[in-house]
Amino acid sequence: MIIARNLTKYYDNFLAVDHINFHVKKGEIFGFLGPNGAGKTTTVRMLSCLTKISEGEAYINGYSVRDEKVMVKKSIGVVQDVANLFGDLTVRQNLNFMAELYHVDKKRVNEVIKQFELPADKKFSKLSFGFKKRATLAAAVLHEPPVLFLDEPTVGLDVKSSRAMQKLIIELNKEGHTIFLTTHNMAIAEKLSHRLVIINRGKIVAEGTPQELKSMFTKVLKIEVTVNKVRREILEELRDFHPRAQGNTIIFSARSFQDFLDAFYPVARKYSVVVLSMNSSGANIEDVFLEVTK
Amino acid sequence: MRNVYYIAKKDFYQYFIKPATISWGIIFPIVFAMAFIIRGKGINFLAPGLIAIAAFFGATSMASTSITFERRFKEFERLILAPLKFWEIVLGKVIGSFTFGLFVSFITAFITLPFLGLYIRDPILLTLAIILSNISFSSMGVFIALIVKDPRNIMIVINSIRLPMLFLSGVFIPLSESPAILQLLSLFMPLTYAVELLRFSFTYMTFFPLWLSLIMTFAWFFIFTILSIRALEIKY
Repeated sequence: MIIARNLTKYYDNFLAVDHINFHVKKGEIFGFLGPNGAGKTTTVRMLSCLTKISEGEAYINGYSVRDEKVMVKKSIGVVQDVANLFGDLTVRQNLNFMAELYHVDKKRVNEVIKQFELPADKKFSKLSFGFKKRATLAAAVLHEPPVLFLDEPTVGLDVKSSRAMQKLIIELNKEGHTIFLTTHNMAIAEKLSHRLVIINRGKIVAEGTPQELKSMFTKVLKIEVTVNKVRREILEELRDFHPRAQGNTIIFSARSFQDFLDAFYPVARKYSVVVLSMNSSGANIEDVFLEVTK
Repeated sequence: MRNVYYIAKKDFYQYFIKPATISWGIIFPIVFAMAFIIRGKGINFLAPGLIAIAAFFGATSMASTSITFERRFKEFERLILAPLKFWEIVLGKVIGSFTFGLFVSFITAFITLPFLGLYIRDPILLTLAIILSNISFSSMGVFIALIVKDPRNIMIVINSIRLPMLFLSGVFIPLSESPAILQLLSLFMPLTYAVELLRFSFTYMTFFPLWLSLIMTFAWFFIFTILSIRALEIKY
């Protein structure tokens, strides 16, 4: 759905994005992570025709970003890092204007207002920051584009608004939108993204599913399992995970949490052991991020 | 052309009563022209100039206000993100400010001036002159607002262009009485041809031939529109 080949951006002599390649599949939430100034926003701006591509190619929904701008723009909805609908217009006026520009039936405006629970007759400039972001997202999906670019959609939102925004993103993905999500919030990226790319100083430094990335960079996970009764057979059968019993808690070491679970649960069931709690400490996406961007 | 209309309609609704548009687009030109009338040049000579500066300040102020506000708050990028051709964006902006300039200059021409006892010899040419002047000034305002690097500086930039133009385009001093060098400079000012056209409709007497003023007024619109489209192509 989105293809970047050697995508590059120079600002005079400064190389902001350095020959990056990636492929976003249809229906994916594709997380694009990176520290401040890594080239995330520049990449989104190139893909959404807001900044010229210096070198390389990009295709969205089969259309060339360089040569078929109008078709690309019809295929995308963009929420930029700022909430930038027209401040002096009400939410409804803004959405009506967008509906006119995208030649969308005005009935759709009412649908979107309802879906996003927006205060339709309030001026955009008078909205709270959370509602501004929601309204901007509503404007981006008004023409039902197959691809959505969300640039830091949760930045500046309180916990409640951030969760509501994440819920909306998941709903939109379920409705069929392919989502290109840039963020530096690791927890959100890990929670929402099917696949992730980490960009640093304009270069892609890691790519994969959150699980793949974590296991790629995980040295050893420490997993603590508290059970109703420690049985010797369990320790023997799971000896590959170096178990150590401390009271009713067994501490395992594993390279992959998933591999551990796949091995542990059949054995626990076999010996009728009840798991009271399970904790793991080891790499999360934040650790991976710090590792690859250092 | 539907998209052009939608942008113009939105701009007209959104910026018609912005303080910057009102002060620079309506109050300033009227006060400025009145000051010159009081200082002695007769209303008969200054009337075309008064209409011209009403159009000049009205249209350019509206264009610069709308684009500057939208560039500052990244609202302009919503237009760039929409599936519009660059010419549609430019013409939409031109027509939005043209409508405002037209409103201001028609009020000046057909309501204010008759109260001052002025006789309009050729109302049809006056109407055409007002329309052409506004369209060329709007495109000028759009072009300047698009190329100014920092939108916060727009009023400094646009006024450093507008104010000298007022004195070099035969608004207050007839071109026939100006030194040759100023006459030469006036050839490169869109305001010159607008004043000439307007003056013709009041007095049938002008410095340049009527056909030249008609062609040049339209030519300025064409030049600024092409340059504005090019500015967008270079940037986006």
